[in-house]
Amino acid sequence: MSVLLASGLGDFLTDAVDVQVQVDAIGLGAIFALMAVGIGLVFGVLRLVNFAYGQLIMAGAFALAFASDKGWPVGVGIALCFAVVIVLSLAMERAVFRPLRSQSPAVMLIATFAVAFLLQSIALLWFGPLGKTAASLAELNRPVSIGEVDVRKIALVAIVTAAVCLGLLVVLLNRTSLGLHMRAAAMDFQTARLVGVRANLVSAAAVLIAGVLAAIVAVLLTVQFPTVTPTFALRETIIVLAGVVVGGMTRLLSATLGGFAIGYVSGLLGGALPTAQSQYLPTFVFGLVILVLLLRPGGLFLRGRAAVERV
Amino acid sequence: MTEPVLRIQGISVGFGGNLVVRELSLEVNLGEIVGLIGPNGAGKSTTLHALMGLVPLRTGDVLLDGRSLRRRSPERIARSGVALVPEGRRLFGELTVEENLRLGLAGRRKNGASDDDPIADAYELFPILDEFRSRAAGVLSGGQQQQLAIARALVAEPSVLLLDEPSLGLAPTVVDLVFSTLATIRDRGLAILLVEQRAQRTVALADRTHVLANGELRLTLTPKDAADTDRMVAAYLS
Repeated sequence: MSVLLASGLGDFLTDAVDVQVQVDAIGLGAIFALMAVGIGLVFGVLRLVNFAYGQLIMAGAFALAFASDKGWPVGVGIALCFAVVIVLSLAMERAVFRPLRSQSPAVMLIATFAVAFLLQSIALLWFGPLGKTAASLAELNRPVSIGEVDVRKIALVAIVTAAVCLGLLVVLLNRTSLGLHMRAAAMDFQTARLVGVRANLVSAAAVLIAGVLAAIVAVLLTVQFPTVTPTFALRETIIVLAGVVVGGMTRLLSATLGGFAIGYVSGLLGGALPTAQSQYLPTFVFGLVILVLLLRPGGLFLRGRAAVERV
Repeated sequence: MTEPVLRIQGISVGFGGNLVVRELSLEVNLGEIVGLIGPNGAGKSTTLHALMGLVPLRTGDVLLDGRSLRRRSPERIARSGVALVPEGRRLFGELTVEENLRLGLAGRRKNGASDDDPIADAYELFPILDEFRSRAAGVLSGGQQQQLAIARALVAEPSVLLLDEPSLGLAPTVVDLVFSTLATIRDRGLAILLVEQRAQRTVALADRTHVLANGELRLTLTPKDAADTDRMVAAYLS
């Protein structure tokens, strides 16, 4: 028995250090990091955990599938995906988040649940439970050779896209007036308003940026999971939310690292676990989440006072 | 006679069934300091919060240059030319001094802002801030933070400056600095409404000082009353 266990662990570790598995895991971590930024940004400014974030990605994925179904060019499909997600995000902000901004976190949370179920139900009515296929970017699943190693193009695209997006976001937050206003609003919303920061503008900007990131994630995820159903990205959103909490929700950087870490671990376990055991992936991931939360309830990437402050 | 830049007309403010400010009226002109003193719970800070749109008015109105501020959001009031230095400074501790000052620019009016660089002016008025411009606001001393809070408000180039207990928790020498700075700001032509606990110093500095008790305006004092300790005590106990 112990020999078998040791042999299984040996195989697992061999697969885990495999370069292809590593690149795929980093690619998934990059996608999850983008989702974490989207969730963390809205939480920072509005103190709102947006459970409808996955449904925004789902809506973008359906837009891609719709365009693919019609035989429209890839560029048009991506443009439609961005348009749908951005319009939905801004509508959500204007119709739900903004009017409820002064309400308790519990009210806001329930409101996002309601929006999530509404969008999911609309998708179910419109496209049915079996959904549609977004196949126009399937070519990105093919491997590309780097030296002697074959890695999937989508993993590299995801890593580069996430790096560029995060870089641009850092520039926006640290080098522009809007970024400064958003950071101030995340620290102390009321005082930010008292000095003249426009509450509606920063809240819309946070939701808009989160929406753009959701659209990017929709494009990246449909390459890996081309079958789009009303529950598309739901599991990923729950995993990312867990990652954000594990990393430390009160800071954007720690939330992003948390998202990346849980994506990386999921990718690693998914790639290294034997096929027969891959159904237990969420069990392993959430087992790790519980362990980390028990050891560092304030957040894995937060230290000292930061663990209890909001920024 | 010119129209006062800030006119408070019979405002009442309350929470639940309690009125905290009752039918309060006062005026502030450009180039003058008006003090608002009174015991704890008199309604001084609530008055400032009502002026900034943080709490709704039950009755009355607030006019800035003759235009009503009623039902305006705090950011719209800030962008209309009213700046608040809140109690406890309320700086963004993790942002640098420079970033805190840049935030003050958010309150600048589109029309009426001067061509001057208000941040350079703020550094000129408070040289210590220039020295620490890259330092996080949260690590400054209490006195330096108070200077930064006043500077952040001035960067918006307001016509009315509201201050909520700017001397709270400061060493006497720093209080001297704050009060002399307020006199300088007045000389530049701003209208200042100063809420303070240091009654005697406020009465001595301000052009006139209103005593508020139980939400009502009880008495108005002038600088020459500052030396009259009996009158000051009577005003508080009235």
